Amino acid sequence: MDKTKQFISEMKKIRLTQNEKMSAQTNIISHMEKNPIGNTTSFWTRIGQIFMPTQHKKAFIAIYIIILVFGGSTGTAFAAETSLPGDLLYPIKTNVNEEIRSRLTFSKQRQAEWEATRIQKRLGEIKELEQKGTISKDQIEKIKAKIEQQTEKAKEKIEALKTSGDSENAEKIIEKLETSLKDHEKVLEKLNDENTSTQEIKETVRDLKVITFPKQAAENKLENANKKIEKIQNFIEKNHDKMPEESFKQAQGKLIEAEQKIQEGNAAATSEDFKSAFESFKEAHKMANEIKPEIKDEIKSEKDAQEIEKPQLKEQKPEDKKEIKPSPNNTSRNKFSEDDSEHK
Amino acid sequence: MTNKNDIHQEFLKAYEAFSDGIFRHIYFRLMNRERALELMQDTFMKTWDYIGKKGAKDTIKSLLYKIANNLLIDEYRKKKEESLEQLAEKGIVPKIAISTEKIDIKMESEKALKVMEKLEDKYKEAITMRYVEEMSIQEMAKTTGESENNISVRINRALKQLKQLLNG
Repeated sequence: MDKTKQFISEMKKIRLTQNEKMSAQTNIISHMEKNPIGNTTSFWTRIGQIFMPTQHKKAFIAIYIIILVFGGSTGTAFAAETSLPGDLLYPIKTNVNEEIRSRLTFSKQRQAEWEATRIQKRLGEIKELEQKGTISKDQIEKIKAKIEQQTEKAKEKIEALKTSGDSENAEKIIEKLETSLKDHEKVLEKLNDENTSTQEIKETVRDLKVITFPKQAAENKLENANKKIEKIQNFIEKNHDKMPEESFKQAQGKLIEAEQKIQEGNAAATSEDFKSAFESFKEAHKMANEIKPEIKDEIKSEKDAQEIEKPQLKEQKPEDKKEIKPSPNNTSRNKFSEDDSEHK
Repeated sequence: MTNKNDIHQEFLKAYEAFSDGIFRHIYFRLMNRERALELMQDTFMKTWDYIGKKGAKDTIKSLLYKIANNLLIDEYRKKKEESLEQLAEKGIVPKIAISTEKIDIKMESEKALKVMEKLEDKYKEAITMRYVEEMSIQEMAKTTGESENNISVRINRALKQLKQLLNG
């Protein structure tokens, strides 16, 4: 017995060294942080997982189809389809119905299309809620989170589609998303006034294009920015005599800055960095955009002033109009797509 | 939010309390310190994932041991495949190796380890759980999924074998 006791006590001495214990703990903690419990997987997501485990995919698809065919028409799944955020059945719609559908589709194109459709559905929900006039901050936040989550997925699927060689369809899907985003822009902007920023929703969906098709996104942005600049330029020149010289110069200066941004973007584009090119063009667009309202204000106040002292102002004709005007540099405006078409 | 932190705290407490035990449990079976350390770490990570997916139904302790046992089974399987492959490559006929390689035993605990190594696997488990980790028979039954009766019998036989090895 003595020997046994001794044996046991010897065994108890075997343990981790302090170092071993610490280093394993660090690894475990970082694992825990990477795979958080609780917040990310909601109750309903887990229900979705129960309905749709990855291992027995086929069996569950069969069961789901049976439910749809035989018990579905009056069933929960169908009732859930028209639900909106905040409704009891909404989680079933997004976590069960849609999740199952996205796993029921097998072709890469369909998968990508479906993920895009889901985002469109979310946008539609915002609109619907807004029209009902019952939209709450909480609901927007919920949809926002969903959109973010689904954009992530869509990105994956679209990229998969693209790498499989079908970038044409991938682009189509993105375009479809963009149009639907445009359709909902008004609603989003309307809701943006309140404390919740729907701006992020727009950005998230927009970024999808930048990430998956940086080149095209940059090209589009460049075109838009150029158009904007031209428009502003015309506007300034047309209204030159209506505004004070100083603000005219200021506006011209800003336009030149915007042009410089475009040059910067072009430089980035030629070195294949389309993402930063996109950013530059975006900034140029923004700069140009900011000029117009300012000028409008100026014109307005000038008009007021004019009414008081009409005769003086009419004589003040600008002479140096053409000298200040930024020369529209044709080379900078050209699309760069021709230059690097070989890279594709 | 508090709930999440609670789980974190709870889990780290469990690590503090059971890491040595789990490590020993694996170490006595594999007799490879490095690998045992890795598997101990894996055990905790897997347990964390499991709780995240399915929630903790059992006590964390028995969950840890169950997962450790599963990992050990995987490890045995892997080893078997590996070693057979290697041997087949080298053209060596497999031979049961009784590890008497480390001849110079200096420390008492090393001597004890030698004895431990000779114990049958299920007896190793019984001895470590019952006497080293001081688990109750009920607890052992829960963790291993066997009846309490079976466990008691096994502990008795394990003690018998151990005594023989220590005296012989």
